[in-house]
Amino acid sequence: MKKYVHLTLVLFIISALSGLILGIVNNLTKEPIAIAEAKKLANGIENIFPNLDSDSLEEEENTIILNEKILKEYYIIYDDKNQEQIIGYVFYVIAPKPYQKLEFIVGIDVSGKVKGISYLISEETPGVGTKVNEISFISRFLGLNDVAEVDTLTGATKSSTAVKNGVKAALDYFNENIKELGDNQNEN
Amino acid sequence: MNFGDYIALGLYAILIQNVMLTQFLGACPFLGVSKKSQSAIGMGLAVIFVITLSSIMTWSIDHFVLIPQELTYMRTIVFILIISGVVQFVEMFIKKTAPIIYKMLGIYLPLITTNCAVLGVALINVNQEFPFTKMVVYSIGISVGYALVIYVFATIRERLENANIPKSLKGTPIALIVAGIMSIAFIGFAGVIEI
Amino acid sequence: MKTKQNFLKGIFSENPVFVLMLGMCPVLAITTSIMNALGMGVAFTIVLIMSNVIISLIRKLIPNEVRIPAYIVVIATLVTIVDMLMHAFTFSIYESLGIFIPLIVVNCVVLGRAEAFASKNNVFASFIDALGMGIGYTLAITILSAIREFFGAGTLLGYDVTPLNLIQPATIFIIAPGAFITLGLLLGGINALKNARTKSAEVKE
Repeated sequence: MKKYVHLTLVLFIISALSGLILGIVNNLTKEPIAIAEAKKLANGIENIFPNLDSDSLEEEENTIILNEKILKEYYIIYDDKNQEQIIGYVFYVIAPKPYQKLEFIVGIDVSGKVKGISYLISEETPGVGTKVNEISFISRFLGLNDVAEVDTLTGATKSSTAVKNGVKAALDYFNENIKELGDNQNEN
Repeated sequence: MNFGDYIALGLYAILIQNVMLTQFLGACPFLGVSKKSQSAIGMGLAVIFVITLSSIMTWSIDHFVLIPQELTYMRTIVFILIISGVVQFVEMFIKKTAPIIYKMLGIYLPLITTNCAVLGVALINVNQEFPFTKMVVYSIGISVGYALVIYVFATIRERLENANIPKSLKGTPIALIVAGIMSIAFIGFAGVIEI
Repeated sequence: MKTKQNFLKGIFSENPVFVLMLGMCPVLAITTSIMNALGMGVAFTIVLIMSNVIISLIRKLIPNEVRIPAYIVVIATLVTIVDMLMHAFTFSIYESLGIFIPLIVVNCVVLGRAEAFASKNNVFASFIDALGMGIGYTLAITILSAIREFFGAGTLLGYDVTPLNLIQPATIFIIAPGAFITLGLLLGGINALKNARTKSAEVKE
């Protein structure tokens, strides 16, 4: 009996210590992890709008949560710190794929053309779904304001269709809600 | 989701997302316990048993304890303890209730704790945020896929024993090349089922 | 002399990948680029060294009956710490290694060294053993990843090394089958070298 108490006690002490250590490390790394995750989005935006200086990126906290399934939110991109000239918009897309995560951002310039796509999370079938990550597929969208004619990929039909639908949703939202707003402002 | 979707998800997990040939989980037993087809069957069945049970356990603990308590950073440590517990439990349970099965699986069960596929599937289930039924179907599919591949692989290796191959390639090197060719075959399934 | 042997055995005579064939999952999965392999190698080596040292320190306090669960708790804690640190400070490597960082817990090499070496030897010897094993493992996956990256993508460490386009990259080296076939041929090559060596040794005698 004494032996079992001893065994349980040893295991308990080890587990308690490791729980304590993990809690401390978790508290210490929480903030750097959040920063790193946020940086991923910033890097994605920088891929699409490469000429931004890092200062102006901080100013784009103009996020609006869109209560839709596909589009999570969008960011307005200004060309400088003073927030005068809008050069484009970035839409955060969560693809409604039933089994795998696929999240990316679509950049649209002021004239309503696709400026670029950058993947944030894509856990695809290794070797196959990763095709949608290839530059050749992304480049099919560049400069278009209508994605109806973009061909999807054979062997990765669902993933590439998901990307296509996401881009379409972003363009639709842009045309319906943002473009007119911008036009009105210009008229005023 | 209707019944057909679950069948599709199951086949998808078995063939396209094959845990060994495309995701490389569980390579040690795959190479180690595949010299005889009999032992491959034993290992395969034990894996099906343990992956299904431990996936349900880990998913439930994650869902009802770790996520509400914001303890998700403890996942790895909690999951590995659950898995070794499940393995111990399965071992004791079938030893008592089904000695014949125990005779067949007994020696493979302790090996499973360190099979990456078990912890891997548990982590994939929570990372992908599967709901319960999908998680069960996916876990069963993945483990059946593992059992299928390890059995096929073992039968090929049995035949290779007597084949005339260069001395340097005998044993593990030729086994790995065979696994590579099997993997090419499994890539052929990609796109057959889309989910 | 003994320390030197203890260190070198992990790299050559008992190399965890090429000789013992342990911890094969990451060896096959993450060797698509040298950067990934180095990241994995460093993470693995750190976990191995820490676990060997800690287990060697507490080896006399742990009763024999519960040693395996105790080792697993220690290793899982260390892996989680490394996982969180990599998530915070080396984000891109963390993303590409993904699930294989937490899977170091079930890497047979770590538990194997704890059970076979650290539980019986003093701290310094355990440290040297882990260092040798870690370097041996890192070396092995780096060699494999260099071959795969060179033939599969035409680059080394991300730099284009085929400026004249002499080699058309063959994607098969990067995807799943390439992992098995490259490792198989590499092991075959090592075996051939060993065989040739023993043969020449026999001739000399």
